[in-house]
Amino acid sequence: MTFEKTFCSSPWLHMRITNSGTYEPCRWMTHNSTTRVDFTRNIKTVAPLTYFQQHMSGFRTELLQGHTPAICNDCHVMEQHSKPSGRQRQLLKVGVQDEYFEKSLAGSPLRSDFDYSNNNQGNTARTVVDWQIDLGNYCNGACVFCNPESSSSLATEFKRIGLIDQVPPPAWCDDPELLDRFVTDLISSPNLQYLHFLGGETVITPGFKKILSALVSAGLAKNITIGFTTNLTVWSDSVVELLTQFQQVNLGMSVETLTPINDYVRYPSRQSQTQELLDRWTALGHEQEWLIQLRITPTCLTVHELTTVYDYAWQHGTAVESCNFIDNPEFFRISVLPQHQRELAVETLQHWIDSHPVNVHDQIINTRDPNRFQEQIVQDACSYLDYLKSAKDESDRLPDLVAYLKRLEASRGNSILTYLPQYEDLFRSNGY
Amino acid sequence: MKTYSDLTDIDTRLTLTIDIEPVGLPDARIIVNRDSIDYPGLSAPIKLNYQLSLLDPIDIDIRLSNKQYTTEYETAIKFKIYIDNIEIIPKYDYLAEYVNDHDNDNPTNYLGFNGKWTLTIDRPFYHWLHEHSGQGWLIG
Repeated sequence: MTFEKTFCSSPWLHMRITNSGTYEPCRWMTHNSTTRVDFTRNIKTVAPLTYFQQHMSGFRTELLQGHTPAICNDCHVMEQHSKPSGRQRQLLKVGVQDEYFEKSLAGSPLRSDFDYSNNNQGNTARTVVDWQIDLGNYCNGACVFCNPESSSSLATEFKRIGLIDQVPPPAWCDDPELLDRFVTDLISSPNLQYLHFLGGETVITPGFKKILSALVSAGLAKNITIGFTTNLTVWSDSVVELLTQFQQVNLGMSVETLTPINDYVRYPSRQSQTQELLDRWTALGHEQEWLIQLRITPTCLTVHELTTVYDYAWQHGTAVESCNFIDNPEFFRISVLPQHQRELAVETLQHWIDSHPVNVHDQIINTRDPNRFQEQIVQDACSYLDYLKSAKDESDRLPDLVAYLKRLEASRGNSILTYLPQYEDLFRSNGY
Repeated sequence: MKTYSDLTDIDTRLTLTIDIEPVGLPDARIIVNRDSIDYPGLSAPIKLNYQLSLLDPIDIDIRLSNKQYTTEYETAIKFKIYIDNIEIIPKYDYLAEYVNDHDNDNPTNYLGFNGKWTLTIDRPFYHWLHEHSGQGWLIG
């Protein structure tokens, strides 16, 4: 790959603290057998700034030298399918665009910082302006594609049905001393601009409210944008009150479809409540001029009804986006659908795209631009269309999917066939 | 580019192109970053090219003068502006200022009144483009 396709500005701006308190260099980092996280570098042992300025120097050097770090793989896959990647988004924040890569890099506001790192073994004097803060798995939802590290409800259920031996340990931010230390670091960090929170369900996670309150009390809220995603099963007036004091809010609302299958996938959601809260958060977002998005995680169970989300977004002036193509669990990937079901999903998506003509001249990387939400929705739909058409067939994973669903259903007392009767033959022939 | 160090080898100048099409025989003056050039009675289309610094602000000033409204009903200057082949005018004509003797300040790339049309790019061009093409926040 060329330098233009591998270079990324993220390690000059951003870092992440995971549920365990371990630091990672990127929110989009690929986790697989070829990537390794150094768990010794965490909030108990290293100050965030030291990790960012010194321990991330190797990553910066790799990028400056035109290498392709294994942890960047997810971004490269997204770009293959014309889906805006984290790499492209982070480059955009420093003014670098694919279309004018060399000159916009040469003229970037961070040019002198890149030069400094290039001449100093990847070190930087910059501080973190864009944080991803993982707050643990405290969640009232148990989405079928989620995992115990991201949902306490699912963790409890997994333990009960024998899928795990132990629930994940408490998150770093459940320790008041660590939370205080982190908040103190945040408040003293110059030029802080963006904090993206991840749960669990952030709205009901105590750490979320504590950090927001501390930033408001320190008088920093007016300079900071908050990003978070809600699962559309909760509402909190006190959190809303805090959020309105920040410079901007990037609000994500998780939904897979606006049909009954959403209840099965985002268990134990109820469609009527989901719809009510979706309308309520959307209205608040518009009223406050927040940047709002519907956040989707299309799987082989929902991709055929994805257009219901696009319809809502189109009608309500809202963008739609997924973080990436689902990778784990493997058997939920869209590519698990056999050819016939894929063709039906392609037909539905293609029809939707054809009936929503937009003038797309260039790839939209700033997917939150409210002036281009219609183009952005179509762009998202096109990325799934491309994926459905071109991703390698993985229908051999169907028996694993069925076995997993049966195990969950034995616990939940439901059946996928109630929601997807059209898949009965497919599932029956794979062990259902 | 194979590595970041190769960035020092690239040509970082900007190419500003102004395509001017006269209507009638206008007296035109073009000023770019205080360098001025006059075209009295311009009779044929011209293409002006400037090499500019990547990081410098850019001021473009186009003037029409001496038009006699009673005898030159259609005299005017039409123009398009590109920077590095990226269309700037008419696409962003609403960002320009047009001061003329008819107090007509509608966004335009057709100067039909005696007066001055000005586009000010008050920061490095790609930073300006970032903002006006809706690319979101820019970290400084």
